[in-house]
Amino acid sequence: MSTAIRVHFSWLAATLLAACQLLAVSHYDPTTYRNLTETKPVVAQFYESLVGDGVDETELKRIRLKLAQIYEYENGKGADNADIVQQIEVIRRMFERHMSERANGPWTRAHMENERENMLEAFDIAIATEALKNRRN
Amino acid sequence: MSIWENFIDDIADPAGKLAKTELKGLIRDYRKDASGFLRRQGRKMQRYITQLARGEITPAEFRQYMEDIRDLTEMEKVRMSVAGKARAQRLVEGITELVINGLVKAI
Repeated sequence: MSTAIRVHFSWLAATLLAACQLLAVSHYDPTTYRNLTETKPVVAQFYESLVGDGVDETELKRIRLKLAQIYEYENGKGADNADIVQQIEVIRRMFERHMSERANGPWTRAHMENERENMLEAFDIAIATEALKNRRN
Repeated sequence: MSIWENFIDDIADPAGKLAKTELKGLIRDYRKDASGFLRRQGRKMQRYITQLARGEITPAEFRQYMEDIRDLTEMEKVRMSVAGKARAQRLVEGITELVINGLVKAI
């Protein structure tokens, strides 16, 4: 191969490498996928209980802990994982806003269904985002 | 006209601060948008206003849903950005693997 062609491809390789760094996105992580898909139905079940008089404080603490663990796991992966970290922050913010509002009293069925739908949609978006990184998708 | 449209039209707004026509147009446009996400948010907005009109939810609950939609939209923006980045990254990896490490070495 001529020197000119080699130089051309070296330049192309360098450009691609720079592009790769600019477009950095963390690799698909099955632990992230499992954490999100396992926590989603737990949260759904908990929301269904919120039409009743009391709040299961043990379950509430367990969900808060699980969300905090997911956040720490994702945040620990570094800057390339900022996208998922941002999404987990939004999920936690939504959850805490809902719980603050629930502190005012039991939810009606219509309200619970609306809130559950939105919370589950938030999980679905985060799950879909992680799935995008899977080469098989 | 549907319940949700009547409800918007019937809101007392003496100062004229509420752009009723634009608001109805926005919800109608969302419901017809090519994006599945925006169509879903448009349908939900329509349902929430209908529920509000029927007294099934309170104004405070309605406000909460609008904050939810704002948060979901923020998440969707991130998902779209990752989708674009993941596609570009696969293209870069494909060129590196197939062209630079494959074709270039073979010619």
